[in-house]
Amino acid sequence: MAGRPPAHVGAVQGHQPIDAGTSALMTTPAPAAAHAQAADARQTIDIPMSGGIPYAVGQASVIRIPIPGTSGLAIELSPRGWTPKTGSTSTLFFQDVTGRRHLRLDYGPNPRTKTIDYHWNQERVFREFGISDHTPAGTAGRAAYQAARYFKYAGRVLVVAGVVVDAISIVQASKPLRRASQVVAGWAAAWAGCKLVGAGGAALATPTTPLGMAAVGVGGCIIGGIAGYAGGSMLAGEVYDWAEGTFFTPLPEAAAP
Amino acid sequence: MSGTSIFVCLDPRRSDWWQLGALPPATGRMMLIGWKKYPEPVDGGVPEDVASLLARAFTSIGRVTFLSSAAHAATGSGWWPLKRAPGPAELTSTTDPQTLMQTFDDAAHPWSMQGQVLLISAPAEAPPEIDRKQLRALLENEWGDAADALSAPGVIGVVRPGVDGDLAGLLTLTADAERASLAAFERVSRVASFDWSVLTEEAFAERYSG
Repeated sequence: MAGRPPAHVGAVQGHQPIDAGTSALMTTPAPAAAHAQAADARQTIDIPMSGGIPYAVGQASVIRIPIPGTSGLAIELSPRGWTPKTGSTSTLFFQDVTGRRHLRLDYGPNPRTKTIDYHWNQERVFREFGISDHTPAGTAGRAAYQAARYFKYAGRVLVVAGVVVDAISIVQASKPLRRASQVVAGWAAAWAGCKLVGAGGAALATPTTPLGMAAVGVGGCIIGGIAGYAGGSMLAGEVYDWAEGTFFTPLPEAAAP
Repeated sequence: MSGTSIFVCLDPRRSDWWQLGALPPATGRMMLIGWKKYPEPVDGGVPEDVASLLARAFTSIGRVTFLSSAAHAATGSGWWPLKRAPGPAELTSTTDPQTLMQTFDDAAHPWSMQGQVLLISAPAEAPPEIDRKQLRALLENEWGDAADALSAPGVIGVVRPGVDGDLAGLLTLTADAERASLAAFERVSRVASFDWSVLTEEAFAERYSG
């Protein structure tokens, strides 16, 4: 019998030719086991995405990392006080909270070398660092200057990304309040971890150059921030679960004597 | 060798080196004011004796109005704290050298990071009336252009810190102001027994580099 050639039907599990005597035949995939799908769904809910790592890495670009034993100096990537619209010509700062005492890695004309170079500018911190004003910073200084410059902006982007991811994770969580507690505790602990481990790193690196101090201080801040976020967020989850599972039973009323 | 020297350069041209905007300026005349101490201090910033001399020289030219974060400090004779809303910029106007010393050590308006501006006007007159926009423009790289409009409110000179605050640029808006400034710096330098000289730009750069 001359009829229509077999067509292809079905887009689900490949195409099946229709035999000569059948007008339509469609195959469908066998249904998956119900328990497997449920397990997948539970996994999605239980492991929410987290902005912890980008947040903890990025915060190192905005936090003051204390340097123990220096009467209030801290590592920062931005100056204190007024800065021009075009930005500062310095990118790495070791400064007190006012900026009055500072050591900064600068790029510009250097009267000592009579060239435009990477050098240190400082006020009132010679005792702490042993570096006089306009000391050339060399090739390591150049690398640190550029690294600090880019990390300052990349870090801010990471902080925003981390906050956005955390906010989404709260919205998507099956228990938004629990997740929100974890996120807030994670941020707070990341801040504390950054300060603590960053300060420890800066203290360990004190006998080395300021560049070594900055590298170890910022590295410590990142590690402390990540650990702090993970720890704070886990602890907050535990506390939330404990509080949620705790019920208070009212005492039976007793007649007054 | 020990001592302090003060040296100036009239009409500098090397814009890229001094970080005082385009040179020569479109309006007025620029004067570089440099200093050197021997032995050279290890800490940056304006040495106290130099700051004192600069303050005496500027206040002998006229009334000096400058950015200050200490405007709420107890006011002495001859100066007024001025607050111009909106914004955090506060101006102090003085004819007292001691008060003007603050300008070299104000963390909110750091001299060494070129965050300061001094407006010199006639001593007997009230402080010049300038708005916030004008003030902000004076803190930017092309501040010389903004200085053009300052003659009307009575400004005769504008001072900005140069590169790393290691020198000062004085833009005088009248020929009289330039003569008076030069005479004032020579006089106070000699009174303080500092070495005083007027140099070419090349000689100034050489002395500045030490």
